[in-house]
Amino acid sequence: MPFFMSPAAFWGLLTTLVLAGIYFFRRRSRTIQVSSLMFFGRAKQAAEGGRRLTRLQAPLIMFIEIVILVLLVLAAANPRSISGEKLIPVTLILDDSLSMAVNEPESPRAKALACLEKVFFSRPAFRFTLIKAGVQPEVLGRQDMPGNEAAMMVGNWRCNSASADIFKALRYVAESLSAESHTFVLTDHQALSDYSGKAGWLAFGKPVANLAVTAVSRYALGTVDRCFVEFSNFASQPASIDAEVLIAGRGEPIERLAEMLPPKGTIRRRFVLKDVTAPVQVRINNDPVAFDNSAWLLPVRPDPVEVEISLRSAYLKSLVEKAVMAAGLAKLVATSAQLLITDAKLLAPAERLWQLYLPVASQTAAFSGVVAVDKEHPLTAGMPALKAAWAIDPGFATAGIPLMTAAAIPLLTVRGEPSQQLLVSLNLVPEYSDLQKSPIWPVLFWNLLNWRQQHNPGPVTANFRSGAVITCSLPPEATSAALYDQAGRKVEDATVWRHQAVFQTSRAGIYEIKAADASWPLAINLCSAAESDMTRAGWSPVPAMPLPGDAMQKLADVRWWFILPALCLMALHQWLATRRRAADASF
Amino acid sequence: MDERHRKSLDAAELAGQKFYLNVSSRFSGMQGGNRFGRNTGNSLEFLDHREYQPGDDIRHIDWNAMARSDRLTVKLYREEVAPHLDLLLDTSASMALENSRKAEGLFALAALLRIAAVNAGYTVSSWLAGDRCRRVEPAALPVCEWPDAECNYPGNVGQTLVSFPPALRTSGVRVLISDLFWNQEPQAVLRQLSENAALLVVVQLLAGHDIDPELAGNVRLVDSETGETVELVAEEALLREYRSNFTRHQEDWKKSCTRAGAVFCQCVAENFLHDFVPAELLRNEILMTRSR
Repeated sequence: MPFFMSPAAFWGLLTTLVLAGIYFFRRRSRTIQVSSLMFFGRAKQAAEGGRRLTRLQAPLIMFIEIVILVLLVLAAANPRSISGEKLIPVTLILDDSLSMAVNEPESPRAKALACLEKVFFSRPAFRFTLIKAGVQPEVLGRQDMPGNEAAMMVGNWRCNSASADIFKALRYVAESLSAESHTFVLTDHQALSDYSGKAGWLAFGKPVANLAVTAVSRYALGTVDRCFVEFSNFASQPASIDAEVLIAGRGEPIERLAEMLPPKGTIRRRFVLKDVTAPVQVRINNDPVAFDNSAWLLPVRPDPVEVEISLRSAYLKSLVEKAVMAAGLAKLVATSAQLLITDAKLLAPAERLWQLYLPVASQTAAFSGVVAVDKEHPLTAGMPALKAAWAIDPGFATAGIPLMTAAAIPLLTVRGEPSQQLLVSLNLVPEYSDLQKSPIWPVLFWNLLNWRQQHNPGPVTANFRSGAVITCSLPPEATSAALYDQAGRKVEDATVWRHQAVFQTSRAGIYEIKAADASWPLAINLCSAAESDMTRAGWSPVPAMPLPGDAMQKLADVRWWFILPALCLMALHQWLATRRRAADASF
Repeated sequence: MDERHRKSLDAAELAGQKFYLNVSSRFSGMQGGNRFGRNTGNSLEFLDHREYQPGDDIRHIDWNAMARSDRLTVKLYREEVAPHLDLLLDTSASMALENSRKAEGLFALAALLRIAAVNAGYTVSSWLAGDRCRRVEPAALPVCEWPDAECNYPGNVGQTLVSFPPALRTSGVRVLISDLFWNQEPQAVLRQLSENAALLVVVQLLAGHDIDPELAGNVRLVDSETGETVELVAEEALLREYRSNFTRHQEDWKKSCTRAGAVFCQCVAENFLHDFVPAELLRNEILMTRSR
């Protein structure tokens, strides 16, 4: 189907009306009475045979003339071929952040959709690739969709991401899609002043004064939980805030806030929660932009790791016991432990049993020098600088990944699969070391217990920021897991790998992870200052056709589609007209 | 008959006073009459002397003249004739053509001829030819008072004249006024009308449009008699064709009239009604101008 570059030429179609008018007035007969038709004898005879011909010929000639006019007008409209590969590739990056849905039905998203319908999807010359720019870029539908398919697919653009990483989406487009593709960003804020990319930037937002809950946290401290809340005013004017913290479900406020927030200012509140099992809701009551006005804090008391200490050295045992209990993440058991700290490793450990193997040294050597530490590993993460005497067994040999090594002698190794069995080996002769007196010792045990605790069934924690990756260890019998919202609707199926379910949802709210017979509550809070700050929102005028003209010129010129038939019809017209004149002349 | 027609008839009758119908030489041999003919005859009015010729009635020998001149001389007397005009008017619908003055001209010409004939001592019978030929009674009735003087017969008057001929006076002058737009052989009509006639005059009364139709563009032509229609594009070729057919038709009538001893005259109604002078009848000496 051709695409017309100069639609103004269609005004030329009015000439067909003029032509039809001329024919109408020319063919309108005057009635005249004559004395006799006898002297029109031959004409009458010709009309008898020729009347049909005359009646047929005149409309036929007129029809041919009208078709010729229409074809010439179409040719004048500069038609271009739009078939197949010649379609212009257009990539649309759609800002999927929550701020795009503010102020429905006049939201930036609604305006952007209207623009898409008017400027893009109605043009048959384009093929579209829709990129939803959320926390991660995501292709909506498939690449290179025709306009009608893209118009249907854009309905999946819901704008519920905690943030929109436009530049990540632009990088994705640059790396993954054709360089010939024309890229447009549809967002609610104006391009940064230093943005110099080729993509067209179409902004549909407007600055809005906004109050938001920008940070919340809850953590266990002894027998109570401590909570932290931060409120922010993103407007350039002072704003009064009416906020409250309450026990969710009971409607019982435990903290109230009614103050003036300075321009671009924040207020932080800390409070102690004695009911460690109570879910807490934080909410702002006087802000029209709703998506960032509330947050939830669910109880954060994971099950302690069951630890069995089986060490023959009383000295070492006391050191280990002290470090384990200091971490506050474990309880000591005599049997069926989840973590066995031993100096005689089991050859056939039980399912999901982790072992910390502290071998008894056959010989002792002192080492001084540089210790290589893999700080990316959960066991050694946050490890302070080593300033201690570490006596080792130089004959220590065990398979596994070395996390700490000194002069090619492994000090700390790990082997196995966290979701199955794991063996952590520590090469230490405590009688000649003062490592146990350094901060490394409790950090090492805290890391180990925390890591193990994370592999207990359930999520690592109950409160997440929107867009964060949620990892949940599954019970042995579970092979799948799903995320459900408060209404019981399934939101997402987890990606499961080695008994770890991974979710990534960005919509704030209360959820529940279900796997086999187990379930765990979950809170996702927006808490995104970048998203809540809508003072950068802006509007940029959308041109009627935001594509460079040369892109259109690359389409094949198909004027000959219309000129050639017009020429043929002109020849036919000439032949018919000549025949008619000859017939007239023969009278 | 509307006011305009009446005025035309009055004007025609007034104009007719200027003319008289010429006496035909063909009235010779008629026994008696109420006026003198052109030829010699048996009246008591002396005309001339001439030498005797074999075959002359010996009763007309002027013996006194013979005694005086010793030559056989005969007396010639003027003939006495009783001339009669049969006026036949075509009342077919074509004579009442829309936007023309044919019907008006028809009756005006008839009125003029009647007066001219009376001026010449003729008796006049008028016939209206439609589906039948009906004599106008009484004969002296002025044209404006003729009953059924309407041109509305949708058929072929030529056929009527052939099939239902009027009872025309023997040795009379007969004048047929018609547009002659018939699909009828002229010979048959002329034979019928010229039989025992002293003179037959055929006056083709036409409208200007009949001679030169003013047609242009797409036209739907309606036959005034049959109502038949035909749609045509009036181009020059068509008009040429019309004029050619018309001329051929008229020539055919002229030749037929010559063969039948009739006089053919053409009269254009609009021209005649303009000055009430029947030019062709005068030219052919059918009508003569009266001296004052």
